[in-house]
Amino acid sequence: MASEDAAEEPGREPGAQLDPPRLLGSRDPDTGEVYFPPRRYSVDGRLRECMPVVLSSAGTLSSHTSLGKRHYGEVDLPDGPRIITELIGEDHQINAAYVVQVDQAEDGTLSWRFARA
Amino acid sequence: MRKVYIAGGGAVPVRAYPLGWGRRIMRDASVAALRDAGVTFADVTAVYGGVAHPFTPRTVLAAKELGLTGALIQQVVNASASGLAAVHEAVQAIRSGAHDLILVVGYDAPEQKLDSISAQGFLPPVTLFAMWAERRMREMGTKPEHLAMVAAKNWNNARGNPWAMRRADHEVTVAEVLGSRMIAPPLTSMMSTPWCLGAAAVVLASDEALSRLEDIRYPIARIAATAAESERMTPHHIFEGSIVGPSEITRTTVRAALEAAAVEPRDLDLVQVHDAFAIEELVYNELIGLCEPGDTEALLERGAFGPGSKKQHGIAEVSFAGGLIGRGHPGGPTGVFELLETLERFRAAADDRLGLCHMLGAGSVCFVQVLERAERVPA
Repeated sequence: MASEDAAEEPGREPGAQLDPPRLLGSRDPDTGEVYFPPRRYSVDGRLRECMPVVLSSAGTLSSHTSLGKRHYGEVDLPDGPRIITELIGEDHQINAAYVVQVDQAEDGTLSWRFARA
Repeated sequence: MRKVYIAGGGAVPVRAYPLGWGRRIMRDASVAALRDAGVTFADVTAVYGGVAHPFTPRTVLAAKELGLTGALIQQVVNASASGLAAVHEAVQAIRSGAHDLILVVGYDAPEQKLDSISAQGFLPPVTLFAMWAERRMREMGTKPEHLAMVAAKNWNNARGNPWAMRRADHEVTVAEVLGSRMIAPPLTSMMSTPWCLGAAAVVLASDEALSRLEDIRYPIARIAATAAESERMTPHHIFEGSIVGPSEITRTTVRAALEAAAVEPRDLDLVQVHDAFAIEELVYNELIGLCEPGDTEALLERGAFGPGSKKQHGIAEVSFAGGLIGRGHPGGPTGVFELLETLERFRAAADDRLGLCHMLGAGSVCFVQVLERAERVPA
């Protein structure tokens, strides 16, 4: 049965916060594994409830490409998750440090990109 | 367990069909398949539709074009793997004894304009596979020329495929692929699948059904195995925003299918993979076990995986009908095209006896089917 306040909860957990700008994840309390975006239950199907966690603000670039004038990359956070993301700027370097930037649209929606630290 | 055969198949060419053509191309591909198998719609007791796009007409509505016979109508939606997923379900229905003659049709042609994958919150697919390529180039020494060798092979293989989207009027060269428009470095336009739509259908039959049909065009294909898996947790797992997924899913699903068929990778004559971008074929060749990890580039340089590969190198031909780059990736029908093209190759070349068809759905599910040439049933 759904919880009584289910209708009051958002459809999914927020993936970022604005101040300070960080991505939000969750941690399996048994294995310590960290997930992004945040998830309620463990990945092994045992339905362990995961704990909310604020992810590191910076990681390292592990791959990148471009499409038109936009640049994209994979940023590995020290917490474990690999984030696929748009990159700010044009000159990118594998293994360089990248820091998250969170933006808010007029409707309140949060989005994120990474820029070279 | 009951054996399941592809008794016949048909398709409409892969094209950029206008909005609203879904019912028509579903109907025409289905009729072509039924006629190829020598049956009518009244003979089948079930229809399984494989559809990927959200605005393609639902199978329950499109199937009315074929007749109102009381047949079971089912629709399977599983992203790019929808076609093979529909076949997978139909095979179970025949094995269970519930049905013995089933029409499976993969089709996609939306009624209204689709939001792009990017608008649905995903990064553009080409960028994700470009990063696969960039990583492999850096870690394994792959060169853009190797990606172009795969693409040129598949463009040229598509030249003889009447259903292919891209039928070049000349032999496509590696230099031509490299010189085509850069999309997302290192992937060029000719290394990437085109936007397209289409429909392809097969008629699946049990032994019993085949024994009462008189107009089968032998040889046909037996579905020796069908396997399906979803993803498992991997290091640096990407949950959302990617349609690439963990490559390991291909290795485990192929292994399950080959074990079920009691064959080895070296036994395969024909292989078709989810090669929407040239980098995919390099990776999947190794995950399937056609060669050791890192050997694909050198084998490509020696002409492996192309026409005559089995005789010259002992390795299956890959994407022999053009694959997703040459024939195109119309969505739901793509996997069904793989089966149909394998069937046609069995009919055209007596040496080809064993084929493997592979598709991924959103990088999160994998379907693999092994086809075996069947000269006559009962033998």
